[in-house]
Amino acid sequence: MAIGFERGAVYLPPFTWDGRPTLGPDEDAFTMAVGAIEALPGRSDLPVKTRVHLVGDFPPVMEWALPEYLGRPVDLARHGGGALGLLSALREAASANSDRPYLVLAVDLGGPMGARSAALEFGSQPVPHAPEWTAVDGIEGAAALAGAVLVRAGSQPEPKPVGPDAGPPWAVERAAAFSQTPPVQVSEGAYVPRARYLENLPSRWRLEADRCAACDHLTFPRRGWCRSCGRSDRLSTTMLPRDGARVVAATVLSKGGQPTEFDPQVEALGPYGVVLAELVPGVRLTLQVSDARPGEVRIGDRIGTRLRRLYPMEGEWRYGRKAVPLRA
Amino acid sequence: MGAGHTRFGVLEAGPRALLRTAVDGAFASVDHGGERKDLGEAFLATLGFGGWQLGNSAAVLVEEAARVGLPTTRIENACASGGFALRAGVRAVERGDVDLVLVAGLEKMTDVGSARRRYWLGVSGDTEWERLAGLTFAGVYGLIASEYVERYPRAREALAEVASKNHENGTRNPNAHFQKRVSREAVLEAPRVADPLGLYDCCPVSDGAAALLLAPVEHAHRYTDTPVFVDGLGAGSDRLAVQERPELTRFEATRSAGRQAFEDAGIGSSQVQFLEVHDCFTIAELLALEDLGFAEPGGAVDLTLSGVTRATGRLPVNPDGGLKSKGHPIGATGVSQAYEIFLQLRAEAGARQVPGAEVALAHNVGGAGATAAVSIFSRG
Repeated sequence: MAIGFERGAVYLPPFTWDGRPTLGPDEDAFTMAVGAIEALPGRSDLPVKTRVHLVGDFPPVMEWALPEYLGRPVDLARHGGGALGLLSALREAASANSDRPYLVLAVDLGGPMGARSAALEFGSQPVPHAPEWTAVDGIEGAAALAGAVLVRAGSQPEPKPVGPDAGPPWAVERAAAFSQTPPVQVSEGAYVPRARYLENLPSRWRLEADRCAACDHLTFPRRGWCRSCGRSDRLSTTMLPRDGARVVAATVLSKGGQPTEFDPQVEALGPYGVVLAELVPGVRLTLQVSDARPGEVRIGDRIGTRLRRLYPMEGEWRYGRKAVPLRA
Repeated sequence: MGAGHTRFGVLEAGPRALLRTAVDGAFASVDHGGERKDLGEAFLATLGFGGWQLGNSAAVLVEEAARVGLPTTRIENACASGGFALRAGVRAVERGDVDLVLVAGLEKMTDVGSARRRYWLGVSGDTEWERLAGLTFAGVYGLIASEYVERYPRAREALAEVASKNHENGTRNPNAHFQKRVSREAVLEAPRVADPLGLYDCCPVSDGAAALLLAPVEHAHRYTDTPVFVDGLGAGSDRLAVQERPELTRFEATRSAGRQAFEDAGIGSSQVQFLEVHDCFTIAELLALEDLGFAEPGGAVDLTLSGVTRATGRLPVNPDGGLKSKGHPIGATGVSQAYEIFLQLRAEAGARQVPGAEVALAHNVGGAGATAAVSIFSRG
């Protein structure tokens, strides 16, 4: 079975700083990788590849978080960052597992080109005219590869920054310090036990809902039974759309209005928005707003949802979806 | 038969002293004398804020009531604990095997630090979704208010009027946490907490306790010549997380509790002369007026701005200052509402007396509408 390049995407953080794309304060290598996966063109479902090559500085959380996000066990191989890392990943993938589909996730958190990530899928249904993988050079090369192929495949314009060039809406130094905040060990705020956090991940991260074939009702978050008719034997899992939700209500939490877990965030970044958004008719979700100035997202707006850091708890960052403005 | 109340506010007194003061006050208010030996059962409404005595706190109530040994139960439905404890007390009286039932509400909120306090203020909402999105109750009510204001633009002014009116009423209540006037302009200009709600749209964090003594109607005149009757009770519930409800700007729990209470009392809303409603945030008073049937959706704006709900209006709302000005010691609030009605219907409310009041309604909400209790009272 011939393995070739199937699809790819590059994720660029929405704001630039000093002329380069810069990580948001709630982004890290994991959320950047998810950003690239969710930018993959053509199909809205998640990659089914079981072999994943990680290129760059990925945190240990990837070991459990990536399989959890993809909803299936994956076999992770780690490589160094940059051009060498990517070449090594592609070489290993191509030689050692030439008949096995794979996914490459590459991330650069900074450096001369700024922050970016890429997701590249290789499998048995390669696109025509794919460039040779040996031509790829670093994340930039991956970006070029993904961009070139996407343009040639005609599926989607070349990815580009979506934010204003004026710089991010936060204080960069304080945001950087906040991102390095050691996760707190003891809760005095929005305490959700780790087990309950984990239980909800399919709905929280992938927006999974249960559709009941008996009454056609959508239950979100998933509860294991239909919220309308109570049956549990006719459920099938579906993924709700990540983009396009309509804002039903919008507030801005200022100093003192936030749960304690969000104190460091408010100290570093100031007030934040929270919206109630309708994902599809009858399914609503409360989301914190990211990538926007407080009050920028208003009732009636359409928003996207992105996986981001929520807050640190018991030694680790917790992740969930946040609302982001859909910019033209 | 009797009702007692502590001051609400930032108090030196601990939870035991607060309970003792409220219970002593309730016994002292019984005209022909209330005998502690007549007590058959006791209910304590409290969230257990701060964790001082989370389990078995009802035992503390009977200790402070000097009736150790009685059956006693803690009732907890967050901010609606008091309304539900009153309901439990009335049901116990209706069973017919006790002479006198004690219902007390308590919260001691100011003896824990700010971070811990905000944790406890958040424990009664949905934690898994709302809290992880960064919402507190202020935030949840901020969302609700944002949709309401978007739909009815004059609502901003009505929200400010609710705060201003309730502060005005609070100046005539010696037990109130705040005894100062606040103008509409000051409400609108105050720092925002959860837009469109500002600092003066939110009730304060208060200590306090209140207590009621209930007896069967047929024994009422043994205790007093001017009893207050509980004519109707209603209670309801809703999904905990507002994201799982189809409507943000109406509380189904209040609507069903209100319907039941009116049916139980056999009267309509036009027969009610004043209201004690749950104004934890100013938006909540507007929703209450609509959900209880005193206004159509959006109609609470005009009703409020026209002055109808002021102390001098046709339908005074929260003559004691409401949660907004009187304070909101979580478990005590529902009991405190009944205390106010007890005073008013007996014409003992002094400077804030609603003239000729004979029928009144109390409305008590848990969190952002997950639970609600409504009670209707009349002068005996």
